[in-house]
Amino acid sequence: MTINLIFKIAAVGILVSVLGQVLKHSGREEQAFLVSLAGLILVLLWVVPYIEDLFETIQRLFSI
Amino acid sequence: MIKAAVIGIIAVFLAAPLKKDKQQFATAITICAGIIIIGLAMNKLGDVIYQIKEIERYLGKYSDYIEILLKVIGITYVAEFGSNICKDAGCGAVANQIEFFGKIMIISVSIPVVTSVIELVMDGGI
Repeated sequence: MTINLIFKIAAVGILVSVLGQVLKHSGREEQAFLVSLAGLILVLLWVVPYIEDLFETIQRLFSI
Repeated sequence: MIKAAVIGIIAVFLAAPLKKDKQQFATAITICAGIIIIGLAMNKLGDVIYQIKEIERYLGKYSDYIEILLKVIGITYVAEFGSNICKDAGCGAVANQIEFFGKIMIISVSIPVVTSVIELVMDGGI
């Protein structure tokens, strides 16, 4: 869990920006936008459980 | 301790190139770095809070103030974390809203303390 999550997100980010540039220069604007949207949703799917887990732990610890 | 610093530095180096065109991935990287770093300290935090709850037993009558104190610390941490992330992402307005909401929650939690102080002063006739 620790560090490879950051590497995965960075990899997806770099891949999406490269793909976006390629698609943009070859004239397919919509696909570039769709690729960046898909990358963003994928990253959100990875990160949101951790955020929820963190806040749930804080709530349990501090008995809020 | 070194692990936390190294994770933070790695995350910043990975987020820097992404900040230029794909801002949202940089924000995702900073969020997840923050979560990992606080995750390292979570079990130590649990021990500290367990010790604080031990101390609570000796206070007797005033023991529920420790509970309120812990709640305030928790609310502060969550509000601070949320607002700093929004500030990094560039939305200062949302960050201020989160901080303002945190302040209101703290005031609402700590009302019993204020009332008990006033009662103490009134009864004590100081």
